[in-house]
Amino acid sequence: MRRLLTIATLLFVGSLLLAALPAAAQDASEVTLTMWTHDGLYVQFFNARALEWQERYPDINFTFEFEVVPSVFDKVLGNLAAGEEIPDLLGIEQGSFPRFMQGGIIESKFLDLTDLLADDYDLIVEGRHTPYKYQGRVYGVDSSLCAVVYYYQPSIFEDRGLSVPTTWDEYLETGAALAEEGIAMSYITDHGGMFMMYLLQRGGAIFDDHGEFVLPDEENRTIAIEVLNLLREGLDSGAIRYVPSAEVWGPAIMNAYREGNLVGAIMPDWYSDYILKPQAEDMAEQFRIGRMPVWDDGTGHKTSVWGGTGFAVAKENENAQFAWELLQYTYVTLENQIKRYEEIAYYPTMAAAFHDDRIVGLSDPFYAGQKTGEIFAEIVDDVPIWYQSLFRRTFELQMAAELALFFDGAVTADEAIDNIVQYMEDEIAFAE
Amino acid sequence: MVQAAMTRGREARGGGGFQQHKLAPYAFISPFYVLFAFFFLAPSLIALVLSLFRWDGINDPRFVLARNYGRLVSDKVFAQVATNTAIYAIASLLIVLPLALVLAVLLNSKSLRFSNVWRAMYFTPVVTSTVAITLVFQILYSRDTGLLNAPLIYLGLEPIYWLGDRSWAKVAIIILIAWRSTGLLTIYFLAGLQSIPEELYEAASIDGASMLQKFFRITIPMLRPIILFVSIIVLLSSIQIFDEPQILTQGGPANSTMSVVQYLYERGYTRLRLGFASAVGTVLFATVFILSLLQLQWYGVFRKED
Repeated sequence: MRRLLTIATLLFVGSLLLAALPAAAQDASEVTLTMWTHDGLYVQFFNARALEWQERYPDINFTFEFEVVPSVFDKVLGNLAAGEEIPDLLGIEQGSFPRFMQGGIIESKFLDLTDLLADDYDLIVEGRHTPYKYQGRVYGVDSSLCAVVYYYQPSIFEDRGLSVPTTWDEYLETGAALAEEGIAMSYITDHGGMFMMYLLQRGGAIFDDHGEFVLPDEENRTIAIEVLNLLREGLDSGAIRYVPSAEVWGPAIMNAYREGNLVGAIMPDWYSDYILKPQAEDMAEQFRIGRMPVWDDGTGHKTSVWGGTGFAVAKENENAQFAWELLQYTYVTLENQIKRYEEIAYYPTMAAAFHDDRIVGLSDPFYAGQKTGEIFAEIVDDVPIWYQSLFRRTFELQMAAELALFFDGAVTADEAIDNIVQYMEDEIAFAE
Repeated sequence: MVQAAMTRGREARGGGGFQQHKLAPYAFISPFYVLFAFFFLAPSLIALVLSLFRWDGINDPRFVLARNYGRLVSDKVFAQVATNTAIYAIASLLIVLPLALVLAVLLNSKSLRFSNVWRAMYFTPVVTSTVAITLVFQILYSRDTGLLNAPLIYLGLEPIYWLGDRSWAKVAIIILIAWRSTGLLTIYFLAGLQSIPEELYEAASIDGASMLQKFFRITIPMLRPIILFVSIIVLLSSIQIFDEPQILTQGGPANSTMSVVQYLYERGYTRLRLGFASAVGTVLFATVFILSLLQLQWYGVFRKED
């Protein structure tokens, strides 16, 4: 009987060990990494890099579930509120970052990357850290420099013996000439972010490095009014066309390009592969990239900045370390920053890549073989910094309304700025 | 023998029979009330309580008393979106409702051929995705390339900026609402029309009543319950409108097409002010409730029959 009991005990313990061992081995060798974003180009790029990166771990069988998720930020915030899982990697579009700043969500649910970036922090330009900063710490690694250039159709200028304008005065002058034929140089929409883009180029600011609302400061107010008046002049002459935000990313713009009544757009680097190429494939070789016009008095910056998507790592997920390593490999290495420009045309954020031959010398067939990196290389030393704030989205949404009124002629530039300042002060007071 | 069996049956059912008889009706109607309590009453009460707090949905809420309501009253954007919503509601009642009634009368006509085909056509918008419809309308409304502006451009006239002009954008939304909801309301009216006894019209014809007299003296009075039902449906749906302006104009330009529910959504989900959004929801609920009561009162639902 005792012998029988001993055998049974051994069998029981043995079976437990056998059951436990494969599980442990399986845990170590099977890892699923998830990523959610709003932009399919990130999925494409991360998938390609993940296949390379996983070779560092030959014993682990990785599964990569990277996907574009509609209303991704609503879904992630909803999941957090419900205590459900969020993806290991999340691409946070910088305009939505303030939603994650609310109540310190970003700090409590995502990895602080400041120390993890360590020496790499300084390799990336500061202006690409600021949109993802919360209380001085960085929570996202950006996907592109977002420097602004002028996408244009050279034939429209060449056919009329006009040259590509380099200053705003030239821009308005050339635009006025083209407007006589019903052709606009570019378009503007009622989007607060687009206004900030023009304001930053002029040297103004909406928020400072602490996230404080500084538009009411005399200098910024003056610049804001100057910028609005510049746009007003362009709208009145027909050099700049107003397109409501409902139509701005859709076919209306592409059709205007095709019909030749719109020369191009003043937009950041992401406009090329995210908007222009997929929607205007048939217009290959008809576009070129030029520099954003500068202010004639020599003040302000050579370019501006708008947009960006910073990838953050969910810190409570069990694969947070793997997620960070993949992000680091994909976005914080010189080689892959160059590949990113080669594959999806999102311009590098590391200064070391700006003048690399592979960036500067890259010919883009869509732009008839133009070495577009050369244009960016001329301006990268003067990209303004876009500071983040908890109230950034509040500003953008209400500024959109004020812009629509301003473009419509219902309010003057002064009134538009006074209205938005009043609204923001009320909102900030309410939030305290 | 039979009497004895009945007695045994009563005895068999007897233990606790009184209680069972008393509770049974409640048990039968309980599913609705349980669901009502869980999915309507409880959330409504929670929203009411939440409207007194500041809460981002993740961290602990903070009691702020009536501060959310104070901001709501002082926010000029709320006044604007409330006005927009009122315009949608009034336009729906004044345009969609009569249009649906007229269409129903036409579809009910005996001389109409292929009536089922027509009915199906009018009902199609109801079963089509709002997103798909709205995207199609976005293309139709495009200033330079939209179908609606094509005749104007062809004639050399200035095209209408449907989605870029504050007034026309509202009209664009109202047209979409009308196109989308008229079909369903037409079906309701059609059902009502088919329940009106034919003898009434025959008698009126014998008395020499004209078409208009029959319409106003027979059709309208007989349809009164349906009109009441439909007008409440229209009011509720137009006050809670969200999809159409959200997809078509995102509430712009200058908030000129933003509805109260869009405002609620934007404040609640984009700015993560769930307490404030609850205050908006509470005000919206109270408004809908009061308006519905007024409508019922106006249609004489509370009037005691002699």
